[in-house]
Amino acid sequence: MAAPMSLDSADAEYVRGLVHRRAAIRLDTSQDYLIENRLAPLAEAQRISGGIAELVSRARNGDHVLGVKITEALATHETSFFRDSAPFDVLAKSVLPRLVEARRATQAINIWSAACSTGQEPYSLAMLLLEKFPVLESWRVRITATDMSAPVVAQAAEGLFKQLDVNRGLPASYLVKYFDREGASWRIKSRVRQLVQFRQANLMDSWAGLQRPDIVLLRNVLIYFDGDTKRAILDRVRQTIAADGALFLGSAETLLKVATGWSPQLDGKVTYYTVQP
Amino acid sequence: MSPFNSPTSSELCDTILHVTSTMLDAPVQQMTLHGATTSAGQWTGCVTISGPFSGGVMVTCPRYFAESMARTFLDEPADKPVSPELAREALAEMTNVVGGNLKALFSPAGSACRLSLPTVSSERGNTQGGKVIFEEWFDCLGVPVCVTVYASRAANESTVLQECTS
Amino acid sequence: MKAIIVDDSRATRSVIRKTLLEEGFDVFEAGDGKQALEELKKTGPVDLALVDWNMPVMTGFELINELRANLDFNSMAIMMVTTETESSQVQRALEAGANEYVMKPFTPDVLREKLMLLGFARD
Repeated sequence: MAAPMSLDSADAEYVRGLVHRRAAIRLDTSQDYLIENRLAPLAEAQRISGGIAELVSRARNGDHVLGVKITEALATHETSFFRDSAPFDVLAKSVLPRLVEARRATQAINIWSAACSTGQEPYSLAMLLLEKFPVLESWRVRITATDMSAPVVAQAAEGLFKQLDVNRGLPASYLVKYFDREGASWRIKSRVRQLVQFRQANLMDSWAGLQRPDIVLLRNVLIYFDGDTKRAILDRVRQTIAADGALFLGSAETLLKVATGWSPQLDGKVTYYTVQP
Repeated sequence: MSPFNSPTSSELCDTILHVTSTMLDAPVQQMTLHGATTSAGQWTGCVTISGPFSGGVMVTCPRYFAESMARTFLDEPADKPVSPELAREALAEMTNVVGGNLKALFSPAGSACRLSLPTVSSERGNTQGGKVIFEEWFDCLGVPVCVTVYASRAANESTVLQECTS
Repeated sequence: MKAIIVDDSRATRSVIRKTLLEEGFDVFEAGDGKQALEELKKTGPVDLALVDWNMPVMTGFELINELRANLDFNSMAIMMVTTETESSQVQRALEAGANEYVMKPFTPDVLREKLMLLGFARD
């Protein structure tokens, strides 16, 4: 007999709460089919004979690893241009103006988008720089974008987006300015594309070749690691980032009780982190 | 040189899949086996396209599917009766959005074809003497739905045919 | 916050209305540009107009031009919500005075993210 492949409403409610807490992803009841579609292959891969009902039940009863895997299955590649918008406002209004002032002598700025997925985050940064900081046109500006998945990095580097992608979070004025329509898709213009260097890289492996970043975006990726690994990654970021640099995590993530040596900076609703002197 | 773009069949299909699955909030698949538009109880939504490309788009589905779309859009329970007017409006809007997205594929860079307001009829769709350049069936929640694109005689037919059948 | 949805499709108005109500808007509706102007003369200016392009009687493009030329309404935020998806059409709407542009089809998340861009954030 086939394992049950549907969820009762209490299980679905639990899954919605889980992905909201862990990844700040809001799923509504009309998306229960998405939960079922994404979790059925996971239950199968985990060889759970009772299907997704048993998968969710085990997570509810404290199987932390399954909880993370469920989140991952639902969070994978969940991204949009200017995701959460507020961190980009903080970058534009306070963090970047401060760093641009501080780098007048070297005229170089490095930004690391450390879980770039299909490219929306690094391209959002590049458009933000072009739009708000024209002075940087003569500077050496490099946005390094990495992701652990090679196919995802390749897709990001291609710079071709579906209509639903450019409908999400991207100001319409940026769409007409920084994209060309190409058949049913939209291609990022070369002046944006050339600011970003894409590389496949796992956060747990070597970061050789990474230029000392002034800004690090490590958003919605730490949830996939256990406490020790999180701490190790954050310690390495602290040793790698510029002394006056800024670290951004996902909007539902915090460094509290995870790593030391960082000072939280509250700017409006956004918290980012600087290295303790 | 043709005054309009000539999308490939797969570009047209991808666009239809994107529009229908997003509007229905459910997976939609292209069908390999084709249904029949002549059977009774089928409704057809039509929009015409004018400008650099001239033609039209038709969406054909069973009447009960138009009713089901209306329930989805209006957020009504599955057993609630839907007036014929609301069902027509739902198919009209689906046709409008499919048609609008498809006509953008024909529009040359820097300009846009024009889209008419949608109409819905219980007759078989009429291509106004135009030539069908694309016709595919899609499985929408288990229901076969047909999308037809035709080019008016005025359009540069040879170019369209050549590109769309490849 | 008040919003008016201007679309000839009741189905689309219903889909948009649901998200706007969740985001705390009072919602008015009109089936074409002319009806929208009449409704706005009764209600006074609202915070946001969500405007379809292709409608009978008066198109959304004509409505934007009317609203931007009218001192009573020219400070309202306008979001085009339309099946016109050519880059040149987006450009035309922005030049006429639209503040944002949503291409149909859209999901509730698309609308929410565009509302955030216009400063209508719920959180």
